[in-house]
Amino acid sequence: MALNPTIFANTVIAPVLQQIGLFSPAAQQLLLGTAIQESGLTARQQRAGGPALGLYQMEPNTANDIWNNFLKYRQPLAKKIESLLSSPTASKVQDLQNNDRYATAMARAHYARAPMPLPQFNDIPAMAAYWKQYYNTPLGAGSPAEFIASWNKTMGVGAVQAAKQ
Amino acid sequence: MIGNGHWRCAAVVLGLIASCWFVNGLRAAPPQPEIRKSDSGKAVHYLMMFELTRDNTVFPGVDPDVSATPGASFTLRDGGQFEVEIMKSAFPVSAPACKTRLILRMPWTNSEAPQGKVAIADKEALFARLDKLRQRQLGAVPVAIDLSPYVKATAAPPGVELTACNIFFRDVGGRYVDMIDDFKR
Repeated sequence: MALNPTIFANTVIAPVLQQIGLFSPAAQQLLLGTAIQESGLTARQQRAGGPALGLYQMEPNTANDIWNNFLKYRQPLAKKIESLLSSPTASKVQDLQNNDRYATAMARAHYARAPMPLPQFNDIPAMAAYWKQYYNTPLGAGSPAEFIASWNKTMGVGAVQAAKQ
Repeated sequence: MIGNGHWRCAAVVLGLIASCWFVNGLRAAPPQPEIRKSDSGKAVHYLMMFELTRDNTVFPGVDPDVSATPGASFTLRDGGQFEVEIMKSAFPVSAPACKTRLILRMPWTNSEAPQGKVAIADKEALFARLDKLRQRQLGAVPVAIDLSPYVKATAAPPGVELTACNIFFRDVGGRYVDMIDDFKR
């Protein structure tokens, strides 16, 4: 059963982003859109036996690269993200799959590596393009159009227009 | 009691069986490919040419007689993306994590990037050629494949092994490159 997106955004994404010092409304929305597109807020193991894990469908190799080539040089952020692990000795791979707070922080760290600034809040097409370029990447199966369709299906087409008024 | 003639006959039959088995074995094993290692500065790529044929290629979601891989579909999508599947048994690089098929995907191209629309048109042209292959209007389509990033080096020939079931058409900066030689944008 899918998680409620609004509850997930307000009780998991926002507190985690604040805890690691990387909160903004745009970041919260981008991560919610990413989780909706990647997993429908349900799948924790990739369909068809692929390597991606958790609500954000991050591959262990990607997570390792974030730790080895990004967080390693940003110890304050690394310590904040480590504090979200389910225990000090927890497996980072298992937590990627089952610990939504840790997975959210890793997804945010992934976006923090992107060379371009985050899109504007409520600009869903720009969010979709940003997700495709930096998260799903050109090698991934997804497309910006799918991201937008997933968002509209889950959040409602009028959700953004209402928020802009 | 069995006479010499019978023994000779049995030996000939066994010899024929062994020969057939040996020849079939040779026929079944895909030839060793030339795999070229290319370092882009950002990543190492393992490149090879491969000839797609109607016998070794599955068009997911279109071929009626095969079970579809969840989510896979031979359709042209935005950014020039599409995918076909290759029978694992026909592919010359080992893929121990895969059951029967490998997903060969054309990477996405940003249409807003410089030359993006031209690159997408090239990818669409390849898709059209593969659709002709699907309809048996073409016998074979040679393509350039990038085995990275789901690949690791091995001691045994051909020197690499796939770690997942995904391989990609060779893409350099959003453009499909139909060869394994060095390519500069």
